[in-house]
Amino acid sequence: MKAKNNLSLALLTVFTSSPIVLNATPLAPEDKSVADIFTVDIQNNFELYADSEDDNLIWYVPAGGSIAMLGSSSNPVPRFNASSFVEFNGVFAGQAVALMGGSFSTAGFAPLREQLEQEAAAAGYTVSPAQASSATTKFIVSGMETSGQVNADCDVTELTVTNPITGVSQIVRLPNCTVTYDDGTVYDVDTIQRFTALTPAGQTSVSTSIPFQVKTTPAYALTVANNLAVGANFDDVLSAVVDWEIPTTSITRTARLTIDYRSVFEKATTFSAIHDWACVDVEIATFFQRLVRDGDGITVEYLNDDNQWVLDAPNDADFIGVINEVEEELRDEIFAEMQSYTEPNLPNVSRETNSFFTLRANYEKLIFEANETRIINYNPGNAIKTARTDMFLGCLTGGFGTPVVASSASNCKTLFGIE
Amino acid sequence: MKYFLGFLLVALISSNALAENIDLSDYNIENVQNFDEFSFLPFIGSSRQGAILYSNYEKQILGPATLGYGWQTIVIELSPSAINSSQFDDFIIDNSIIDMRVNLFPEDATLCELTDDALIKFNEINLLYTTNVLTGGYPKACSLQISYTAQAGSDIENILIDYLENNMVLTLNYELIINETVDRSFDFHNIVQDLVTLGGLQESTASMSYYSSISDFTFYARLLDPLLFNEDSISLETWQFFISQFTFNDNTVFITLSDGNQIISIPGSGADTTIFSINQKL
Repeated sequence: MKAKNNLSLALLTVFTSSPIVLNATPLAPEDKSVADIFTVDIQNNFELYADSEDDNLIWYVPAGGSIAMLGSSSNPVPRFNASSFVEFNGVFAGQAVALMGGSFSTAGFAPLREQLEQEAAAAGYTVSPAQASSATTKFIVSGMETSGQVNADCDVTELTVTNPITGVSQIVRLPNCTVTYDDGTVYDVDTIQRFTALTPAGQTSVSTSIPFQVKTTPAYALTVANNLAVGANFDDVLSAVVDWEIPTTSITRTARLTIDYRSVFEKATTFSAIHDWACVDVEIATFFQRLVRDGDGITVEYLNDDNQWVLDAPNDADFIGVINEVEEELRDEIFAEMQSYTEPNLPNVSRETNSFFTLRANYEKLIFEANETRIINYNPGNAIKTARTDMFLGCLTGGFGTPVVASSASNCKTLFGIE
Repeated sequence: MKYFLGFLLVALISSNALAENIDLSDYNIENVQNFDEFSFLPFIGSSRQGAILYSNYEKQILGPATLGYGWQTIVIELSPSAINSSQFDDFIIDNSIIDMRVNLFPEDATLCELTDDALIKFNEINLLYTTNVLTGGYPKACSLQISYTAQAGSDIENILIDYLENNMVLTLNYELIINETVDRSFDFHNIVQDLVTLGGLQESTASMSYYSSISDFTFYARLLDPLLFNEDSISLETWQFFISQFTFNDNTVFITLSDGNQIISIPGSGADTTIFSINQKL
């Protein structure tokens, strides 16, 4: 869906294909943190990431949001409406209930976005909504978590009433709504009969505008009307949360290897012998993991941010990044790869290969007793970071035949940036 | 499930009360700003984002609405009187306040609970009813749904509405308490040196070790300055920690100074401070 409006409805865009191949991606915050550039108010309201390519770009995810607003900042038009509806069947036939419908937005609040942009510009940065590889939307409906649908069982419950004085019993019938969980527990729901979120395709929503519809019980219809008279929140019956997965990359780092070839070959010989001189690739990877982990035969030093060589890996991802690089550098010097092709099976020609590794006789290295030092570059790899946007339904007045507008209560106006 | 005519009912009371454990550690409690009908509790590090606590509420009676099968519903809402007051509006607008829109209610808060008088009245008029408390409608504190058997417009309904409007029928009551734990400590080596100077301990042959007769020790220990213990007057608890460092044997007291007993720490007993409270009947 497209939203044409004067407000910069900064949208979080989501890629539907994976794996993500992007030149510019958010950087993992532990690699480069940009939060310190901003005031506490911005840090509290946004998740912030540096960019892997552009030193002047910052990606953001808003921490909070509400109903989507169209129109202008002086005259916002909420995407929400509520009306009264008389049920014509079911247990509440003939009674008035409330119907509500609208769209949540993950764009966050305009005044905070403007402040983010101003603070960034003052420090020489531009900002952009982060690109998520996936988004999971959850709704809290009357205290129950759902990804899209709640249908309450609304029926008449029979109850026995006993007069404590006369001891006479009578049966009373009460209309009542319940929801039954998967495990069988029955949960009383006194506010809604039905909730539907129109999220596309199963569990994840890639849309930044999240439409929903609610049908209430007759009792809760009274509260709906009151909430829309005073601009109160509907947290007791509906709120939404989006969990974003933000793919981040790390900075390429430098490490120094000191290789004692005699020791490495001794280990490789023992290792190959165990595997009958034909190791498969998983076994080769294990060999190099142990080599780096034990530090015996290869010593790894990491170049830290102060340009010093240190023996401790900054974190697990760095350690794994180094192992991968060591394997790539040294594998072909120590092991020879033998590939065998499966027999072609006409008319389907199979190109499957199986490879195994044998020990290479690397006499040249053994002749020189001295250790060899090499500088390598490695990348700790990509990490998926999670961010969350919490959205509330509230700060709205009107409905029931009159236009719905943003509440004029002062604490709503400052939140939405309405003059 | 049994219902009693005219009195407390319902195993059907489902409290949608989202009485979560509130975490006050993000808030700058020392910088709470108090006004006539509300208080503003800012986030640590922020001057304008935080939670608003309301100290005065008003009640509103909504309905009745018809549920069907002979049941009607009335809803009582408790809304803060501060909203739309000029003191509130001026504060919010002048400071561009970012309202977190949460009710910081502790788990043991009493929200929209029917008063004893109301229960007695319902019994008097033989009302058959069920109740349900809803929370989460910030800035409202809570709502109470009362569903009862009566014909729409009947006498009993009119009596009920009249009673609810003109009497104290709901209780709203909670306290926000934080626990202050203050650790105390004192420099033990300093005190031992002072005691040596006073004459209450003398050096022994072992290094960093001192001894004395118990009578000399206790005589001069009385003269120790409380300020050495970081107190205006030495408390029993502090003294107990002090004495427990020494070894007593027959008529002699021994002490060896080490890195381990340079500073003695006493864990704080923790004083509770109420930062906000409200007790209203509406």
